[in-house]
Amino acid sequence: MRRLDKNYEFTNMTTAHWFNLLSSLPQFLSERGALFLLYKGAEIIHAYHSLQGIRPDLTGPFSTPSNLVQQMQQREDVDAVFMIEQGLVVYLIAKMQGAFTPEMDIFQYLELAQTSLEEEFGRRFYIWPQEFWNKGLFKLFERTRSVLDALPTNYLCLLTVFEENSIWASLIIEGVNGQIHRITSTQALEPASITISDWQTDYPKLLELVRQKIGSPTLGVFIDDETLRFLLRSETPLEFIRQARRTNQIILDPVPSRIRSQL
Amino acid sequence: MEQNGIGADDRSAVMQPALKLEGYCVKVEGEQFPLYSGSADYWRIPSKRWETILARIAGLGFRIVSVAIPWNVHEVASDLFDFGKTDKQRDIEAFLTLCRDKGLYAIVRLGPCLDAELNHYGFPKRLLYDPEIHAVSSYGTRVIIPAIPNPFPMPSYASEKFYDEVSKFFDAVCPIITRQLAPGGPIIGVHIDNDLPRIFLNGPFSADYSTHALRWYHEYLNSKYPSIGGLNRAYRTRYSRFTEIEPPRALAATEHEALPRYLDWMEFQEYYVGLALSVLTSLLWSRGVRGVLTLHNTRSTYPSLPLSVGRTEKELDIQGVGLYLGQSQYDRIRRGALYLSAVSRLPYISESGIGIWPWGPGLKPEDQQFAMVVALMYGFRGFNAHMLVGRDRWLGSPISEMGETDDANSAFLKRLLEVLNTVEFHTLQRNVPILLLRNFEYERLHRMCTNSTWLTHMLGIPDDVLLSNRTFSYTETIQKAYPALWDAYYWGLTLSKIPFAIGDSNMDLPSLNRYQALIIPSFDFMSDELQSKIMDFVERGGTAILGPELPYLGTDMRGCSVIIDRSGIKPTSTRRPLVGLHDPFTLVDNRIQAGNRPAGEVTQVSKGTIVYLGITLPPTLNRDEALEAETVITNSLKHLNLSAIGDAQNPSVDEIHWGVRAPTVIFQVNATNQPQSVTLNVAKRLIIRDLWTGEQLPDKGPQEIELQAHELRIFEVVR
Repeated sequence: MRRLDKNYEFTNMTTAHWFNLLSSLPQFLSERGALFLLYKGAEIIHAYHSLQGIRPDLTGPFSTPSNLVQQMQQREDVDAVFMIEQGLVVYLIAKMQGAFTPEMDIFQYLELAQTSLEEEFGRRFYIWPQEFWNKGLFKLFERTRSVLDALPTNYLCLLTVFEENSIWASLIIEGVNGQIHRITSTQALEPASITISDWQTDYPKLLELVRQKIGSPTLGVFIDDETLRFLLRSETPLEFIRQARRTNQIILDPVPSRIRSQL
Repeated sequence: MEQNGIGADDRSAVMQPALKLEGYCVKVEGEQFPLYSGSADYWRIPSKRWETILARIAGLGFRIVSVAIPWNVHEVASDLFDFGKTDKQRDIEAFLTLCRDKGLYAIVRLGPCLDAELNHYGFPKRLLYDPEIHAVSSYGTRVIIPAIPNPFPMPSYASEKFYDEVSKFFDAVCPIITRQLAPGGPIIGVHIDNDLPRIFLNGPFSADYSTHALRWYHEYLNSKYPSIGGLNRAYRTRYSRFTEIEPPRALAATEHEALPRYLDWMEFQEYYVGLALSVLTSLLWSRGVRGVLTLHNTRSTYPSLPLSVGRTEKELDIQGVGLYLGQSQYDRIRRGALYLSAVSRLPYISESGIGIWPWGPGLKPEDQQFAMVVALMYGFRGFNAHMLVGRDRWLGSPISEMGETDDANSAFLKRLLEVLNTVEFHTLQRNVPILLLRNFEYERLHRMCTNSTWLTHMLGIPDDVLLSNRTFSYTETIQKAYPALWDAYYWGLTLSKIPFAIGDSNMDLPSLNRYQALIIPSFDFMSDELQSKIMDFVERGGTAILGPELPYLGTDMRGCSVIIDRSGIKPTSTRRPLVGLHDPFTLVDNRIQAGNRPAGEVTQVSKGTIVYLGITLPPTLNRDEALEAETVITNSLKHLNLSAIGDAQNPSVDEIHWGVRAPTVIFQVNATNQPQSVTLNVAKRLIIRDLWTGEQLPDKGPQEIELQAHELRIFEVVR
């Protein structure tokens, strides 16, 4: 698994580009919000709606947790309902702290939270719809990692997102010995020295700049901002990429064989 | 009533005569200047660029550089330190000498904890896995800080071995520091550690249960209670020695008689933070680092327990805060500034974000510029632009590590310093008649009832959602009623436009006496000491607004009714009326009513007044909902004839006047995301100049000002 090198560098990143990229990530919760229920014994003691705030009207006794989350999700018309037993979060943190080992990076530590919660599914933690757990950032995180895992141990990835023909966001990730060693952007390349009048034909100029300043890219992804948003929200990203490549909405160049074979 | 540098004169005695804290300024070698600084990490900047970068910093108008000196950068092998002999990049003395050459002073940050997006926050890794050093959770595990890239176990700041290790670093670095102290050298201040309360990040019963911390706990109990008998009386126990007492590991109390033990555990954590800072300060003192400012930082703009500004400023000079907020968090910036302006010796932003760490909040430059000016407008007197110079693991600094400047942020900082220096902002005072008091005794109760952790914060679940509902047999659930009432008063004061500040119950009587009126939500219990302080304030001529309950218990949950006894007020029924449309608030002949129900009284006590409000206010989450609270406050304080500031017709625009007899500098801010039109009410024949643009307003008295969304204007009034 590709980890963050303890001496990783995060440098030469334009603030606007970085936050453009972050803002395009799928939100954990969409427009309808989520309901968090905290229970003790057979009683909901706190209810919180992510858009409406505290909902005291939803507290009180219940009989079956799995039925309750299902009913609540329909009645309140939310994206998801989370129901957690009081004390579970503190217990989970204690468990994570107990399982922590010195070589863990932050992603592995957060995975402990994810797996610890999954162990409590249907026992002290309920969620409805259950598929929600596999949506959003969790899934994106897994997909990103699987792309990195498919690369050689030393790699250089370039992602450039265009808004019309200007760079809206860019990300360069350099891996050394399997670990993410450097995160940077085209800001490090002085991209002002090149002219891009049509990104679909001019993108090789950026690749050349990367070659000159950093090294030969292993994977290059060029995309426009609209297509990126669709991709990040797609339920079937591989299929989406296949189609978008045909219309040049996504350009992968170069693309390593292990990734090409999946497309 | 004037606000001033609280205790500044006392502190001068501690410093060398050559370096003094005067008002809100440092005076060194006969020169006086405010604390406006910028951060630069020398070890992350190519050493050949140091000179260029320091020249850029001075060129923007800064006089001070904030310099972090990380332990794990200089410790190249166990107990082996390099300060430039093998790597010029680590030559801190050369960097400090260059600062001096460029006419810059320095505040050095020695840690041991720095954060600075460093691995292990600057601690050497070898230290963190030593069982004699790490902090222990209530479950017996290590306390893990979820840092990027590697989480790590937090050391216990009560561990003697930890301080032995810190001493080795201090032994190595302090000879350099002492050589560079002002006068003679550039160092005017030493920043000690960073956000020390983070050790309690997992909640009130999460840390520190190490044997070292338990020793501190027993010492704390022993210092609080003169004898074990006193503790047994409060705890309703029969201990024979303090060392027998185990700290609580979860909230198990259901009745208020059981609470003293828990309240003490909360207070102990404040003691822990204060004592740790005291030990670190004395380690530096004993190595000759003395006679300069000492500072500590907390990341929050509006500090909460277990950090008590008053307590930490007993151990060092300045408790600074972090400012990583944007336009949409205007209220949090304002609260922080109003609070620090009342409780701190020198209200200082140790980290005023200019740029951001990659995993930080998505703040734009306009957000950070707005936040910085709002913070100054409401009372911060110094700031450190963090990070003024760019570096690895940071985005958007005004000066890059190669020395290039980013025009927008650089121009903003340069202009800001020009404006502040033009009006000598650090010397200005303002009239603030009202103090809204945070009662730490209730905040401790609130804190011990929370179940929040960094994980719930990450999920976006507000703390109040996880607050215990227990009433502990009080007349109401104080941990919920107190913040609700406090917020209602805060928004009511905001809507009233009467200037106010925020204080806390740790403030001493002379500090409280600077104000004409105190507003203090009061419930069933309050310590004897605090009740007496309030009555002393009233008897010397102040006004105190209290209620909805008058305390009849002390913090040991035994009978204590100092306020009732000294004022003679009889509390109303516990069925308190809700003030609102159907039951409007009235005050006639000192009798307070809500509708036709009695709801309190105004009582003359010696030279002062107590306004007892036995009422409930509707939930008030913003100024638009604060009409009832505003009516209650303005009527209750009518006898003081206090003046509102700003345009009464536009509640959305805030105006702050600096200048005691008449305004010298006027700030107007539109905190909404809609344009606003507001009247600037000034007399004819005064010259009004926009300090930022230099534009002079027409000399015609009151005039309309158009403010765009989140626009802030600063006017100078020239007589």
